[in-house]
Amino acid sequence: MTGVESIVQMIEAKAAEKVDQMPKEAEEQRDLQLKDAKQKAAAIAEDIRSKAEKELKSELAKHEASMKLKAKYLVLGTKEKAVKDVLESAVKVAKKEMEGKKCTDVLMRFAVEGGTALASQNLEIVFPEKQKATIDQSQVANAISKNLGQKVTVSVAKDTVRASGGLIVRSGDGSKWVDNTFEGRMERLTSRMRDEAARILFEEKSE
Amino acid sequence: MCAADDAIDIIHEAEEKATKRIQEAEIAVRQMREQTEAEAKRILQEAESETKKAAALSGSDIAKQKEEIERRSRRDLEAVINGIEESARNHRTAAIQAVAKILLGEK
Repeated sequence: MTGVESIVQMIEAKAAEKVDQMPKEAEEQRDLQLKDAKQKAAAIAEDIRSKAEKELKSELAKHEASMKLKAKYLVLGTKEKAVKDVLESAVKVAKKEMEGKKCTDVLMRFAVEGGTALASQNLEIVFPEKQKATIDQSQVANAISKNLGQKVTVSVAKDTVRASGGLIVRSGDGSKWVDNTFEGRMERLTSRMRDEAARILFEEKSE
Repeated sequence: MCAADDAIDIIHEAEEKATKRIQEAEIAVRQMREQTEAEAKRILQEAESETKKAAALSGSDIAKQKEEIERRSRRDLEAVINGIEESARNHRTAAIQAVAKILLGEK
């Protein structure tokens, strides 16, 4: 082999080696790049799926919460209707009883209860203009005196109050009073009456 | 001198051939690289597109699921309200009496 042939052979061998090596490296690079792309694609898909699932769950949860809230309002509305019916009927029953035999007993109780709460030595009772029943003032005074452990005087005021029934008890100087008219009691006791009605109407079932 | 020139020419020719082969190989490699990049891009786009389609498809099922929630809620609510109304009917008289007693100071 001549020197020239040897050089040519060397050039060809180097070129062949390089030409042979280049596709191998390119294939390795391609495999890595495609593997990376597939991994990224899987991550993207998972991310999209996860977000979509989250949004779906969130929307369903909101819808369910909204339905529950509506149901709650309907339940409250149903209960309110029943309680209102009881309160209205109870007022009618109470007013009817005030027209009967119980009237004096009720007024007596209102007067004694109010007078005892005021704890004043001189008391006045104010009746509604159309109040038919009267009460024994001395009996009221005795009952209050007994409750308070001190002598109390009771008189009936000349003035009247605008109410459908009951009475007002006030101290002699007019500085303190207990409104035991029907309207006054209704206003004062509404919360208690509603609680009692609801307790009986809806909670006795579980007992 | 003539023999030396011939030798240089031969070597030069061999070098040119080698350079050409290498350039051809480089072109092939570049084409492969471009194809790979295009394929990687296609893989990513396809994954995104297909998953979005699938997610949208499952999202379209939401109306059915909402209807199911509403149906279940209505059924539960109906039972609760029936219970409340029945209890209220059964205890109405007792409740009226109790409230009337409060109003009359008997309780």
